[in-house]
Amino acid sequence: MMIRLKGGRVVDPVSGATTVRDVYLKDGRIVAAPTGETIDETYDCTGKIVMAGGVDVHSHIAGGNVTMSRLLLPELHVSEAPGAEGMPFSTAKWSGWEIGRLYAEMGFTTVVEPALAPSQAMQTHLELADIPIIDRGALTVVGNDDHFLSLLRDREGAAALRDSIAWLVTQSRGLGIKVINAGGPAAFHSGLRTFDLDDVVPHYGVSSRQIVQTLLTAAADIGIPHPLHVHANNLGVPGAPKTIADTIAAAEGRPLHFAHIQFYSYGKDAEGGMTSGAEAIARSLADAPNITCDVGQVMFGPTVTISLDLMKQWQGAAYASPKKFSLTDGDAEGGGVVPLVYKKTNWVNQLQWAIGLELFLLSPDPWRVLMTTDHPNGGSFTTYPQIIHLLMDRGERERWMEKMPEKAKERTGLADLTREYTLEEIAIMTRAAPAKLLGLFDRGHLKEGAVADVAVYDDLADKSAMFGSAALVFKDGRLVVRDGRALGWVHSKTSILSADYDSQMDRRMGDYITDRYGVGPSAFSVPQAAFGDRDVFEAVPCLK
Amino acid sequence: MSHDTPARPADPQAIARAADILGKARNPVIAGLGCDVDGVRAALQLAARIGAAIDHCSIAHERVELRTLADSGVMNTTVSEARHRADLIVLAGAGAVAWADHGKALADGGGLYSWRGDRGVLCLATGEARPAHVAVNGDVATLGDGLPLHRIVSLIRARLGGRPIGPLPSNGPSAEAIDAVALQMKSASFGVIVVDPEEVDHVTFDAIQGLIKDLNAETRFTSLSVPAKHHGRGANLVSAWTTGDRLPVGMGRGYPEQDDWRFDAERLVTSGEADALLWIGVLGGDLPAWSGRVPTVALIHHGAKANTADVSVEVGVPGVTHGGVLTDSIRDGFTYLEAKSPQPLPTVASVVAAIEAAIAGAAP
Ligand SMILES: [Zn+2]
Repeated sequence: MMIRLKGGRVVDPVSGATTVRDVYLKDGRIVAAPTGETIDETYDCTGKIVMAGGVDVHSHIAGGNVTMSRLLLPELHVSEAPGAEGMPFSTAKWSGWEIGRLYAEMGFTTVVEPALAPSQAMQTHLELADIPIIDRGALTVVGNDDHFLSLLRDREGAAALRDSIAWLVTQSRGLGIKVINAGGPAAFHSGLRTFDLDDVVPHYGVSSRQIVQTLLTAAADIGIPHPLHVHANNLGVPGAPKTIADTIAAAEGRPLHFAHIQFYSYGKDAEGGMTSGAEAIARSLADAPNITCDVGQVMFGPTVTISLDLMKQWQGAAYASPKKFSLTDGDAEGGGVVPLVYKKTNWVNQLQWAIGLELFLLSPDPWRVLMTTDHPNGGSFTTYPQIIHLLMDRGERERWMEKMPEKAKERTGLADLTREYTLEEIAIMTRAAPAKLLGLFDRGHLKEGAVADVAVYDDLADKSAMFGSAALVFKDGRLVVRDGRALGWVHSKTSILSADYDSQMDRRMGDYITDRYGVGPSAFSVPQAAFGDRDVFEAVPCLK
Repeated sequence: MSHDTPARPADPQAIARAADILGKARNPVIAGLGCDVDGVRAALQLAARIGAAIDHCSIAHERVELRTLADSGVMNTTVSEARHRADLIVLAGAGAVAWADHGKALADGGGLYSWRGDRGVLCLATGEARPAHVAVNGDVATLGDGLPLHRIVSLIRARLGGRPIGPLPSNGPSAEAIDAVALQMKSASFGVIVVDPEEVDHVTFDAIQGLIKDLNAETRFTSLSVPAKHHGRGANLVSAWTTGDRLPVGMGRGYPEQDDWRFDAERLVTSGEADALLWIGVLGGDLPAWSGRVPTVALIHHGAKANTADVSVEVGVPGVTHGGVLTDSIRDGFTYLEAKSPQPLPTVASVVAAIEAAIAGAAP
C-alpha cells in the first residue's frame, strides 16, 4: 500500500535541508516519489512538521527493577480512568501498555531499556514484548559479575574476554553493552561504600579503569555498533566532572557513551558546596569527538530512581521520599529502587534542573549530546515535550527561572545562555543521533529505504503542546496515532545483536553457570519459543 | 526440541458453556491462577474484557511479602548469592528450616568466593526444628525456640540499638543469649535471613526487614523469602507489568484497582458479591470448597478432579506436556521450560483466549 504524506515541512537533516515536500511510505519503508503508481492513502500534512519517529537511547521501561518500582510504590500510580475500547490496560498507570501508548503518542517509535541483567534476561524480554506499538531494545549489563572479574584477575587473554562478553550479549539478547559503576557493585557486596576509577575491587585486584578499558577493547573486537555505554563512578558526587575527564582519558580515543551525564556535572565551591560543573563537562566533550552522552535531565515532581548501582542506591536510601526503598543483592548487580521528589523549592533540585539545561545549551554537537531524563531517575519520559520547549524557547526558560531560589541561581550559568535549539537540532538529538548510535541505521531519518516510522506534528509556538501530542504517527508504515491518541494495539519488535563467539565459550559459561546456580545455562536463555506465536526479535548485524 | 505435538483444541461445547457462565456474570472472579506466564497474561486480558476481579491462591506472598514491600520496602537477595556469599544464614521460623531442608538449596556452601570464610547458621524461633541440609562450619546456633518469631526479632532489634529490654519470659532466652546473637549477626560480613511468608503476618515480616536495615548500618545483611506456592511470584510479576499492580486486582471499572479486601476471591464468592468463578489450578491450588457457591469453570490438569465445577476443562501442564515460562526459585528468575513428555493438551492461555473470543462473539 502506497501512502502519501502530503505537503508537510520535512525536518530531516540526514536527507538534507528542511523543505516542504511529500513523503511516501510503502510496505513499511520510506520510498521515493512513485511514478504512475496509485496512491492508496493521502494524509494532508500542510502546515505540519514531518520527522522520523523518535528514538530513546536510555529509558528504564522493563525488567525486574522496573517492576520492583511498581510494587514498591502503588500510591504513585493509582489508575483512575478507563481506557479506549479494545485497548486493555492502556490507562493502567506504570504498566508496559501505558508506556507504549504514551511514547507513541509523543511520536517516539523506538526505546531502549539500558539495564538488561543477563541473569534476569527473560523477565526483561517478557516485559519488553508486552510493550505495544513501539520497537524496543536493551543493553546487556556486563563488567561486574564474578565470572568476568575472575577472568580479569586470572589474566585471561583478550579472546576469552571478548568471547565472554559476546556470549552474554547473545544469550541475553542485548543490543549493546553497558557497565554500571565498573566494579562498584562487587565492591559493595564486600562492604565498600565508595568506589573511584582507580579503586580496586576487593578479592579480584582489578580496578574500575581496567574493567572499562577491557570492555572497550571487547566491544571493538566484537564490532558492537553502540559504543560502550558507561554509568561512571561517583554518580551525584560534587567533583565528578574530574571522574568524567579521567574516564574520557582512559578511553584513549575509542567510542564511549556516558549515561545521564547531568548526574556527574556537579562542581564544588571553596566550602565544598555544590555548583554547576556543566562548563567543565562541556569542555571535556568538546575536546573528545569520540565521546557521546545522554543528559538525564531532572524535571520536578515525585519520581523513583531505579539503578543497578547498589552502592549509590544505598546512600540515596537515606533521602527516600516516601520513606521506603528496596535493595536486591542479585547475582552480579541486583538493583536498588529509591523513590524521591525533585522539589521546585529545593535549591539543589533546582540546580540539578539548571545544570541539565546548561549541558544541552553548551553542547558542542547535537549528534553527541542526546535527550533523556534517564526515565524515571531524573523524571518521566513524558516530560520530553517540556524539555524541548525549554531548549527551543529562551522565554520559557526565563519563566521557569523566575521561581528559582537565589542560592541555585548564583551557582549556574543558565541565565546567560541565549541559545535556542532549532527543529533540525531537535531532530538530530532525538532521532538521527540515537538511532545511529545504536546501530539502527535505517531509523531516525526519512531517507529512501528507512523504516517507515514517522511522526507528524502541528507547527505550534507552544512546543510542549506540539511535541506532547503528535498529529499523526506511523509505525512500520501503519497509522498508529491520530490527534495525540493511539488508535489500537499493534506489536512491534525487540532489536537484538547477533554476535559471534568461539563455541568453546558455550562450554566454559555452561560450566560456570552450573557451578554457580546448580542449573544449566538453558535456564538463562531467552528462546523464541517462550513467546509462543509472537515473533518478537529482529537481529541487527555487528560491524564486523 | 522435538515437541511439535499439535495442541488439541479444547472441547468447543465446554468453551461455549464457560463463555456463557463468565460472559453473563455481573461480577466474575478469576482465581487460583496457578499457571505459566502466558496463562496469566491471557487471564488478565480476560479479566479486562469481562470486568473481573483476579487473584492468585498464594495469599501470603501477596498479603505479607508484597504488602511489606509496598508499606516499607525490602532488602533481599537470590538463593545463589546466599549460597555462595553468605557467611551467616539465619533461619527465622520453622518454615525457613523446612524449606531449606526440602529443596536443599543451601546444602552446600558454594565455592565461588574463596575469601568468604566460615559459614554460620542461626535458628531463630524455629521451635525444635533444626536444619539437616544446610552447610555449616561448626554448630548451629539457636535462640528463642519457645517464643514467637516477632518477639525474638524485637528483642534482637532492641539490643542492637542499645535499648533496654523488659522482663524476659521464663521460657525465653537470657539477655546474655540475646546479646550474643546480636553480636553474631553484627559480626557477619554478609548475612541472610530466610523467612517463610506463610507463617508470619505482615507486621512480623516488616520487623524482620527493619532488623535487616538496622544491621546494614555497619555490615551487609539481606533476606530471602521462601518462594510462593503455585507460581504466585510469577503471576504477581506479570500482573505488575500488565496492570501496574500486584494481585488481587479488580477490572470492573475498566481500569485496574488493587485492593486486598475488595478483590479477595474467597470473600467475593462467600459474601455473594461474585456470581461466577474461573478457577485456574493447573500448577496446584485445588478447587476450594467455597467455589461451590457460584457457577464455576475450572481449568485443571489431566487427572485432577473438579467435581463441584459446572464446567471443567482439562489442560496441559507447562514444562511437562507443553513448553512454558515459569519462575525458577533456585535461580530466581523466569525460565522457559521445554515439555518433558509432550501431550496434545491445550494450554491455559489457549483455553482462556478461546473463552474470551467466544464471549466477544468471535469464532473461538
Ligand atoms: Zn539509567
